[in-house]
Amino acid sequence: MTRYCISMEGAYAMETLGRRLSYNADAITEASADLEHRIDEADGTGNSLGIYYDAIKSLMHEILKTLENSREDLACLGDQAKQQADMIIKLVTDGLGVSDASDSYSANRAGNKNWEPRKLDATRYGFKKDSKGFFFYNEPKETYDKLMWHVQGCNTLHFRGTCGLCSCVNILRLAGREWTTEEEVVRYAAAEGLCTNNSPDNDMNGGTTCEDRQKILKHFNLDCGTFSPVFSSGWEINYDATIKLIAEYVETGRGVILSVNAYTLWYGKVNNGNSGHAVVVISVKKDKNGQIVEFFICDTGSGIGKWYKTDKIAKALLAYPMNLTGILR
Amino acid sequence: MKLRQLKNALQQTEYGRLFRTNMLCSEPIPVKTAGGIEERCFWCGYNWLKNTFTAPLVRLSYDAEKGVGLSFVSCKEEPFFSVGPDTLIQGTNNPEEMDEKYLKFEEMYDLVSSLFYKEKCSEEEKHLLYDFYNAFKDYVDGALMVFYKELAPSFFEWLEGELADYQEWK
Repeated sequence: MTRYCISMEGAYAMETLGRRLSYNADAITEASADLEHRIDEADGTGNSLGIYYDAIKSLMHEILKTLENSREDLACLGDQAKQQADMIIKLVTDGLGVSDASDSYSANRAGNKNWEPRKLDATRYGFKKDSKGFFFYNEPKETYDKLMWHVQGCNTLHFRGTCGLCSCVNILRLAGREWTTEEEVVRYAAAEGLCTNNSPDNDMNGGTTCEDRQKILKHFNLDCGTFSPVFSSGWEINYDATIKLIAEYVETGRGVILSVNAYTLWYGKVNNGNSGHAVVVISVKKDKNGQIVEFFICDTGSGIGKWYKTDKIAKALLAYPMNLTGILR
Repeated sequence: MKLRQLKNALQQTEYGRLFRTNMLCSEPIPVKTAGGIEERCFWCGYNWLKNTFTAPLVRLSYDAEKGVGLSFVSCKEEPFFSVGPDTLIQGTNNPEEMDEKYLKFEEMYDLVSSLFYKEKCSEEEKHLLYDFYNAFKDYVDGALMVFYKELAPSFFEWLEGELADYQEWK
């Protein structure tokens, strides 16, 4: 199933990338539209995907070929675009290796109704030491590559501002509901008014509050609370205490969705505190003295999962409430 | 209270819980009321990659000291200049310059906030207010300026009134 999701993500992510970067690839747009139509039909029944599998595979070969031809153009757009292109090529390539997609897709769909989160008293994972002597929680890279939803905007409502919804997807996946897709969560949230769904700009549609995300996770049987940054007197954020709090939540296996300023997180710009973005924290890294040095963040807005220095996270943090679940893993 | 703290206070009010991703919160503007000073803001839809906004979606006020909301009104009910929230507005500022402009604005805000609504400011104070207003206009996107003025007309009337006889303002 996971491999099937990767292939779908790859195809959808490519469409998103094409839109975002506005690069000239008519072939991708055409192929992607066709693919989306087929996926739409498959989603309707949950069982008919196999009929389209060969067609999808063939389309993905076409898309991959076109994307590889465009690699140079993408590279001109900067490192981030190149990283996304490389990631998407990997995703599509992975997807092409699928052999039993439709079977596992149906099986997992049937399992949706009865899904319950794990009941854990303590996290199943601990810290490992890397080659530089730092200690990190669990296996963040592997978790990111194999489990997490990578790029937002992969839904048939064409909502692209879905960072919070994709963060819900990723929290559910961390909790063991590995087949959760953006499509499923976006459809539910839009129908229930738990995200922005009436903006004239689809980049704004899909926006959520912390409480929206709580309700969405609850719908999928996952209890979720909130937490706020630690304040010193006069509404000043105590960043050291807040970073420690976040680290404690992550290393005890709890699901954490942070509220950050994307402009600061992505480009190191000043955080004016006027707009918000949601990301999931997968892991924390400490030095030999126990000092928190980095967090591994899954950011579906940039489509990147990587380590961020603690001070960068602190600078990007906002004072809005953030999501916190019980022990998931 | 510093600008950063004012914003943190809003984010922790009950209204902060209603602020969605892909929205923009305006700068807080102080308004003198019978009960003291309240901060007013508006929220827009915001696409920071394209620097586009919707017309304001919500107007709100809050008490920053207490960290509590005072009013929250949908712009569907009370639109700004009859501009409905469905209207898309192209921002005019260059995002590349925003860091410097924001830092200047924040610095000036913190410097002059104790002067807000003071009458008959000294020449030195007027100079600070003049610099503050210029920093504000320089930083706030020109496309949103009309909404700020409608949000808190008394603040801008006071500010422009104090600057009316300031030499550089003329």
